[in-house]
Amino acid sequence: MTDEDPAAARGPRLEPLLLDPTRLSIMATLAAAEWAEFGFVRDTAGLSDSTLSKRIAQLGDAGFVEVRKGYVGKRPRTWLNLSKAGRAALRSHIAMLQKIAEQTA
Amino acid sequence: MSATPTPEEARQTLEGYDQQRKDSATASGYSTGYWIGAGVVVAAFGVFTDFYPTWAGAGSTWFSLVLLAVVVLASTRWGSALVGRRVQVRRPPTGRRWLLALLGAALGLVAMLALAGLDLPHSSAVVGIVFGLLLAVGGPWWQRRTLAREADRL
Repeated sequence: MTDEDPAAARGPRLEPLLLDPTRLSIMATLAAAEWAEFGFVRDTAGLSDSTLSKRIAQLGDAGFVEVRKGYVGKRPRTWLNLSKAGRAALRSHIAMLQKIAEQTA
Repeated sequence: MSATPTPEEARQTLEGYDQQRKDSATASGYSTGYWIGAGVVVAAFGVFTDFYPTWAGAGSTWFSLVLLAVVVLASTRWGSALVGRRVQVRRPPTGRRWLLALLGAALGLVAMLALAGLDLPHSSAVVGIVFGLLLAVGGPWWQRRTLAREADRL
């Protein structure tokens, strides 16, 4: 198995979806962990339930975030995780931001 | 933010991103209390085994099975949520994880054989206390280092 990454092969580029600070904040929260609960992401990113739901739907449609629903006891839970494609897009986006940030003295 | 951010905007975005990632990584770790608790359990097990050797046979098997079940359960999404953890620690790549597990098992085996060869009095209690202290003191330190490294890896 190789770690070949198509996004890395293309070189760094800005991902339009991640130019939104809220979406980037969600991606950053998920980047450092695995399978975070909806409530954890909501609290860490400082968002409301509806805002997070909308953003997750957008990120999910783009294939950047995986969503799993289940129960712990009788309580419903939603878990979120960054997909491989999401991680690659984030890596490429951050590399491009670093490139832009280094442009001026 | 515009389609292409200015260098200043890019810097600010990166700062916010780094902070968010670090906060998330820190929150995904186990609390210091957990590490201390684990250390106390291991030390108590060692001391108990030493002073009640008849218990050691059946008791240690049960203890090991329960410990294994807890570790496996805590590594799953459902089990993690069951014990009140809202996020799971990001794990190292599979290859490195196996390497670390094998290295740990080999070190443990060597330590056990060496100890058996020395025939020290109260060896179980000593081993339990040493490993318990290692867990309680070294655990949070090791976790901080691991989480920081994993947070940097995208």
